[in-house]
Amino acid sequence: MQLYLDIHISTEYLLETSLFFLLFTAGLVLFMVIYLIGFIKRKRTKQHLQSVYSSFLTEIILCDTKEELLDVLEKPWVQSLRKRWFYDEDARKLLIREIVKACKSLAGVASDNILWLYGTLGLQEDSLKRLRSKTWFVKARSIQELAEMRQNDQITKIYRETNSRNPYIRREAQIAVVKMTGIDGLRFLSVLSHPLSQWQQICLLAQLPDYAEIGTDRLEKWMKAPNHSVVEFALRLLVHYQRYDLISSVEAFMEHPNAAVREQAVKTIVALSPDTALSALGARLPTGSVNIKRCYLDMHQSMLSTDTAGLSSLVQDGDEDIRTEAQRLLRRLSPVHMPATEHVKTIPG
Amino acid sequence: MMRILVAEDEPVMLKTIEMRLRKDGHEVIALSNGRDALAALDTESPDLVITDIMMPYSSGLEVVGKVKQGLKKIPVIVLSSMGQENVVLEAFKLGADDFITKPFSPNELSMRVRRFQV
Repeated sequence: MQLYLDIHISTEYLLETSLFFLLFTAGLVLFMVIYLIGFIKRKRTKQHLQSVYSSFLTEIILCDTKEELLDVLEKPWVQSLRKRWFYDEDARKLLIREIVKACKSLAGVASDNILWLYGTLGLQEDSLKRLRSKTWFVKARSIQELAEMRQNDQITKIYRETNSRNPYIRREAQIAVVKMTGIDGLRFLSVLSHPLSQWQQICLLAQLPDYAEIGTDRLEKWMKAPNHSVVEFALRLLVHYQRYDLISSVEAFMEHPNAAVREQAVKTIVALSPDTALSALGARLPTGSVNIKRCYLDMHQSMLSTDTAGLSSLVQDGDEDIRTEAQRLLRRLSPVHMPATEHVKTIPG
Repeated sequence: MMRILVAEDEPVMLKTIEMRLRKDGHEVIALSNGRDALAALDTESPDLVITDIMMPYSSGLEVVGKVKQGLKKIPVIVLSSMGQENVVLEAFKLGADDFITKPFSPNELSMRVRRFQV
């Protein structure tokens, strides 16, 4: 069987097709050029505005009195900027970004001046508008802005987001409420149904004041929370605020079903009460995890305890590293154990 | 009056420090990255260096290192962010004379600078 390919293409059709593709390509190139020109123009405008804002903010930052601040706002070039802010939302957005960035690096009168400017120009309205946005990153940024600008009267709106389904919004909201209200901001822990990541726990601790009164009942409530990450964070709080009075209740968490909580419980006991830690860890050696055993060996080494019972039980452990470390410590503490441990070398790992 | 080299990548902060120091009567060489600061050390011969730690191209630590390798004893003030204690210690090991943690007040910086005035 033979296949024949009989295609007839008219010159007219060819011309039409070529013309179509030519026009399509020309349109595409034109669109790209227009887009590129617009992009470059926007970039230049942004650079120009950043430079103008930098001068403007510097003048505001260096003012010593309210009169000086008002004088800066009355300057003709600032007046023209204010006119622009009236209709140009992007220019206001950029100003808010620059203000927030500057505020993070400044303290004292300089920081107060920046906050005054944010309030006087009514920029909180822009942040609040973005807080209502459905886009997660717009919302998260607005929360950051409101917290940095200490808009404490908006705390209720931000607090609602501390248990948001979106992890980024949740994260920003939790940090914001703690930044704005300190220890009291942690009340979201009582209702938090989403996990609190390790990094988030560290970020929250960084926002908390070094010295603060935290109610025992609140801590105990969080330690009994159904959310395991809240329990873990509560244990971290015990270390942060040196709550020796609650150390007796921490030991029970070494048997917690969640591994992260168990690990944090060990760290909490080790940090708050090393003496109790050694005996508590020693009691859990027969059934304890590798982490507990390692922690026990580390503690033994740092404290140079003469109690060798726990070490003796570890010289026959299944983990080779633990076995070796236990033997090394025993040799150092009590040379009489040396012959007893010699045979252990032959135990298969 | 001193000739002060300031290296800071944040434009608002750089301008604020520059204006504050000029207000105090100092001559200021303001640079926005570590590479320019390293180059300026060879040509500008400042009496004092104020440098941020985290900067593009070259870090503040490199600036401190280069200043302290020189024959002339130029004091260095390091600007650091919260939580950069280890880096500040590293800067002190390299010979930094003082440090200020962000957030800081420009007035505080002005006071610190005054300590190095002869």
